[in-house]
Amino acid sequence: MEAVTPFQHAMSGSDIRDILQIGKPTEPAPRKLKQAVEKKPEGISRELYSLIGGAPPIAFIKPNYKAKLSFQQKATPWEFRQFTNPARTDGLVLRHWVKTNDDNDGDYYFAKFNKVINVTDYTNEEYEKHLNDPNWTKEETDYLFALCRNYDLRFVVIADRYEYPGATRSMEDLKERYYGVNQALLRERAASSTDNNQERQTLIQQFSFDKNKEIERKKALEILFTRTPEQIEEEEALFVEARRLEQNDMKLAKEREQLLKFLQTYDIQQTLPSTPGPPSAGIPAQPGLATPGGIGIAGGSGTSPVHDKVNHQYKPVRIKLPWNHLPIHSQYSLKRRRVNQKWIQRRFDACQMLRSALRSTKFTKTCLVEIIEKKEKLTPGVYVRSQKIPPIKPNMIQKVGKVMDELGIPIRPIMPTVQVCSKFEQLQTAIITLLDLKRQVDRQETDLKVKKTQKSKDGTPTPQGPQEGIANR
Amino acid sequence: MSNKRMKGTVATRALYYGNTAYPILGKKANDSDHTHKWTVLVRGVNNEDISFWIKKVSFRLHETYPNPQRTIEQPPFEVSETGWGEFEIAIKIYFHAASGEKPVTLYHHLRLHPYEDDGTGQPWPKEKPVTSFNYDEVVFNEPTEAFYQVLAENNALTFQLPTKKSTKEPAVPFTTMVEQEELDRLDKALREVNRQVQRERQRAEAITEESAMYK
Repeated sequence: MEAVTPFQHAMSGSDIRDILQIGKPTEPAPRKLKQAVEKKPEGISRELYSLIGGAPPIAFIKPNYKAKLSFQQKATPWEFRQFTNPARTDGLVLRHWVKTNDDNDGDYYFAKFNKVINVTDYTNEEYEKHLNDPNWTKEETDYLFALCRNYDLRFVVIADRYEYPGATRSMEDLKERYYGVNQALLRERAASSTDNNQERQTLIQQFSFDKNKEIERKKALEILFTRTPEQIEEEEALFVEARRLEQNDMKLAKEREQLLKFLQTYDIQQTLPSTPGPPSAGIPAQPGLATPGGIGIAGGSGTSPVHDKVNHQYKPVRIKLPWNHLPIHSQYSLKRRRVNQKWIQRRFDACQMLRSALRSTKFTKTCLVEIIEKKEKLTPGVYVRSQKIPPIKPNMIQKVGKVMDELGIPIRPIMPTVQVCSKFEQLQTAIITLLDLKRQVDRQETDLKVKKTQKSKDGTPTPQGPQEGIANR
Repeated sequence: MSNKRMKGTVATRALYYGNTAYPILGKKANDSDHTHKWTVLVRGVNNEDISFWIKKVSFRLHETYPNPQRTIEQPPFEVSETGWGEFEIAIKIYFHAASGEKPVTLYHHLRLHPYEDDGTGQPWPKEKPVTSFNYDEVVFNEPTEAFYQVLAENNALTFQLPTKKSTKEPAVPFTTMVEQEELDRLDKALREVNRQVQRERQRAEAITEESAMYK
């Protein structure tokens, strides 16, 4: 009789009776009882249960309330107790909250953190004997020392608080006086005691204070601190340039050595009658001859003589070496180099900080050896450097691209200069080699696996035939 | 004729090419369907004169532009236009007759729209121009004597990369520092690749050893 559907209110008999105007006097009473007895769902109230249509909710969990927080112990009593701070000298009595059950552990906990610096003290006699100074009266010195004691030798604070009538002292002055007094005292006092001489000397040295040096040092720090971003960039650029030049310098030195070695061997070769080949007329064997055709050095700065280790003096060197006439073992690859001195000099004057560091290195006096690169035949014509990077086979492009991506290298160099291009080519070939190697090794590995499984399956030696052929790589 | 070539010599010239573009804002934006104003250019590094070795530069624009072949015979070698789309521009550089060289072609993809962000994590601001530049070097193998003369006169037989970002030149990031960074990057990559090659070689050895046992 009850129209109980999940989405409707439960209708009691009396409601229906009202609606349909049907009298059913006998049923309501037992039904009511039934209803009353029926509906006692656990966990939720009766009203709620009827609201949701008497059906159990989809995911109904009896709510698990936390137990009421119980205090088993009594509250600990606290006491507002008096205490003294042993680090204090005036006997001030303060109060603080302390647990009554926690007995007084002794001294005030924080007293041990009061570290005091032992500022040396001197007697009047000592002052008269050793510490007299024309610029400092005894009173002022005493005043300074009192401040030092007060402010724990923090000279920044001391210099700020220093207020002696008639005296304007800089921090360096104060420091100088303090360290001077200490040094003198050390010397005199240690002389009387039987101390280890060595230790004493080092201690005395520690107290030496050079006022001018300190002033200079602070000025330098100030300059360093107040550099503008442009200056910092300039310096960084100079560092990079310096590093590059140093590298060039090393390379140059190496090449010079190689060249000299080669020339010596070539000289020897020339004297040997068995040397085959065209006459040596066209070949400038003596390094003293300069031949035209060298590329000028930027800025027009001249070459300076090359001094080698055997003390031969070579004239400005522009050597053209015909490679096809040389014995194979002395075909070194000699590259062309250019260093512009004037430009560097100008930059130096602009930046003081790097001056000394850079001057100490020798590359400003490096010589310039112009040796034309002749490893490859020069075909006349013009080309764009980035277009001359050897292309990769189409099937490899993607893989190589992926490797480059992992290494963080773009597909095409940003600045294709000579060095960058050559390095880039090297990298490309290296990657291709790597990929080929990988493929090969993987193939070998799979073959090995196949062989292993074959062996374990058959228990007989692998049959001759195609497998053998594949394994024999 | 001074068409004789200087044997064994190489001359190099550096330049950079690319485009700047900025969106057209304001009233004009409503007039046409061209959303951007752009300039494609070829310039020398250090903002130097390149007209003594480049006679003319021709830019081949998209065919929808009137007169798509734009030839510029005097510096500055650039073409300014308005448009709405990105396309590839063929830049052909003609050298002086003295060089006796054929023209070289560079390809540049015109960039109008910015990358996702401008490096600071913010979306690209509307007013900031979008740039795309590429550095390149033109190498003359065995130049003719006449050309060599021209270069020598202009002190241009070699070039010097700028060492730091000049504050006047916006967005010309081709300095020795960049080159050095690239060299360092390549060095690192090379080392890594060589290391991996070593590893593979070791693997290969191990495998050949093992497979020998199974023979």
